[in-house]
Amino acid sequence: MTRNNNKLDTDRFASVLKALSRHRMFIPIAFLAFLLLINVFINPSFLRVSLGRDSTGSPVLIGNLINILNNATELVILTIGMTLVTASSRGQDISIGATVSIVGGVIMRVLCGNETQPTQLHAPILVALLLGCLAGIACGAFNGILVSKFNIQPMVATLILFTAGRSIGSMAMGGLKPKAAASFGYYGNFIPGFPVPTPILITIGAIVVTLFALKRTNLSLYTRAVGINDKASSLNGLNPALIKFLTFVILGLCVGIAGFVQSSRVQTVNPYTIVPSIEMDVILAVALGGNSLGGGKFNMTGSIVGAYTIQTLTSMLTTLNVNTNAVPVFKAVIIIILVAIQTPMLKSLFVKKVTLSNLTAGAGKERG
Amino acid sequence: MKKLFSLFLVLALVLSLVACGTKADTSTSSDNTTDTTDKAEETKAADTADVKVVVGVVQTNANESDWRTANTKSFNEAFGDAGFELKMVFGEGDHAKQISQAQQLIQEEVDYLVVLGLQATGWEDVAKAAKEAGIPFIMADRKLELSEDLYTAMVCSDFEAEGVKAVDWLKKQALAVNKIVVLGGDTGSSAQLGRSKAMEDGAKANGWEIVFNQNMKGWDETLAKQAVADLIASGTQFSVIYAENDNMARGACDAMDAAGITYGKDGDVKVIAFDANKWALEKVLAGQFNLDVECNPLHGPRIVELINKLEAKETVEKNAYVNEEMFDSATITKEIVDARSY
Repeated sequence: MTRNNNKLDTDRFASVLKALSRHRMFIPIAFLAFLLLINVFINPSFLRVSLGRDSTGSPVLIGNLINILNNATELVILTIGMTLVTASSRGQDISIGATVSIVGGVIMRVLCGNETQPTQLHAPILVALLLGCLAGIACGAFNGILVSKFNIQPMVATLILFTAGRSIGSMAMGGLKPKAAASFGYYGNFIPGFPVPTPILITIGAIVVTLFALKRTNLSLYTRAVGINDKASSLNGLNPALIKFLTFVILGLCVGIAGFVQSSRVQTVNPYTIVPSIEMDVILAVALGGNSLGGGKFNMTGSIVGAYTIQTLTSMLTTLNVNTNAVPVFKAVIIIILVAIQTPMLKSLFVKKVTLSNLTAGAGKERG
Repeated sequence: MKKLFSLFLVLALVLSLVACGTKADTSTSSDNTTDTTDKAEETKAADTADVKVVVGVVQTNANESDWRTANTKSFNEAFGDAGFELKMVFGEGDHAKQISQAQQLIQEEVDYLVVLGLQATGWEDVAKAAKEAGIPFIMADRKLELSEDLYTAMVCSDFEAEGVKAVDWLKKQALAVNKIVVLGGDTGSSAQLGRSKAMEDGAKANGWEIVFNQNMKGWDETLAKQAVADLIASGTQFSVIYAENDNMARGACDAMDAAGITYGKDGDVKVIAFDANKWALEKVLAGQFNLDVECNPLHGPRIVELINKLEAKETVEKNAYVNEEMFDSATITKEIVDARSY
């Protein structure tokens, strides 16, 4: 009797595993869990979150998990926009690091004017945020027009701002390197008295708004339709150019918010080094989320999980104190493994194995 | 039609960029002219020579830091005073771009080529081309990895010596525990190589423990802050922050502030920084940084002196290092900070 129960259990387990492994979220979440597990294995207190006090005495949450959630903010927000751009335009925007630099430059100029060590802000932070977002949207619209109206390949179109963006950011700052007053730092750090880092709240807000918009509006459907076949969608009454343009504008807005959070972190911006090569991490997050970089269908939650996976990896390389020359190699090896598992060839091998074990379990049941 | 229009749009963009570039150039040259009118006497002396000496300078970035701004200004002013014609180009963080800019300057047949390299390696071809063209190759600020016969002279900061100063200072502090966090600069730049080597050797010689040693891309303040926050969260104990520029030291302090760790003169963690910008010296004065080792940006007058000697066919010191100080929070005074111009 008990033997039979055991068999039933393994049976059920196998079928659940099979169903799970077929779910589109399985691989992205499995990666993240795998990385977190390795971290816990190396440092058992990795997941511990404690309540500490900062130097001014206000309570703050301290822990690796908090750091990962906090530092992933820019990555997650940019990944949301990039997922939509990838889906609709079948290409990637490689200018986001440079446009974050432009946004940062605009925000610093608005807040600091021409002073290098201003003791107070020159403009309300809301104005800086709005102008920053406007700059981001303008960049997105510029890219969007090149891609949607003139049918330039996204990577080529965005190469323009990729090349010029950081210099434009530097010009926007007027060649100065100011540090804004400390109150600007609340948005990239903590609001005094509230223990959760503000960027985490901003990320949650961005994710909620995105998932809500995807569920309640036609954005998701139209984006996919245009990405799969823009001629067919045009015959069905959609305007593919407009939808591609819109996704670039949305990415521009994401760049604006990410630039705002990033420049608030240390209240200063170095236009040449701000978010170094983040475009690669963002594209990778989209790929890790199980999305085709060739456009069409997309999986937003997968992308977001992918962004957290990359931040976990970055944080892991720091806490393990990997030799600085080996860091890129280390990262590359892990990424190759993660991406390779997703290729159809290895995926089919994996699924075959699961079905095989399932079959043998089933055979055992028959015999019993 | 669409194609034509898109071509036009791209052209318009490129041209507007070019326009921006030339605008910047003219503004610097107008700076030069105002300088030259101010110092009419010197220019008269220079005008007696028939042709102006043309010096090509390959600079790293236009607005990388306050330090770099002071550095660029020093070149503009000193060359203007000396009546040299200055052709300054900026690599904007791109090593390959710097190399092609240097080769362009050689083709333009400048009289002297001054290079401030983003990376220490990869300059052999440029140096050889300059040698073949008979253009003296001068290294400034950062020493490049070239054999002695390929360059004419250098006026550089000795980054390893700067690091050794910090190591000696730390030795004198005789701390009970020496657990060091090394925040390195851009991997492969001579400043990073020299400063990291000094601390790695020093730690080996004195039995100190380096608990973290990684380079931050672009000497970035945010990356340094996030790295130190990660170390604190994972329970890594440390007693010294060795940050290879002022900005990364400030980022590390931010992270320690957020976790309630005390640092500086009266704190648990000693903070060592490099470059000694004015704002950083203010932090030293306030006791937030324990030590800041100077890296002097005022290379303009030194290069002018060197070129004048070369013009007069005098022998020059081939490997000249800039004399640099360090500022200790125990001994710094307000006068020193106020005297700082950058």
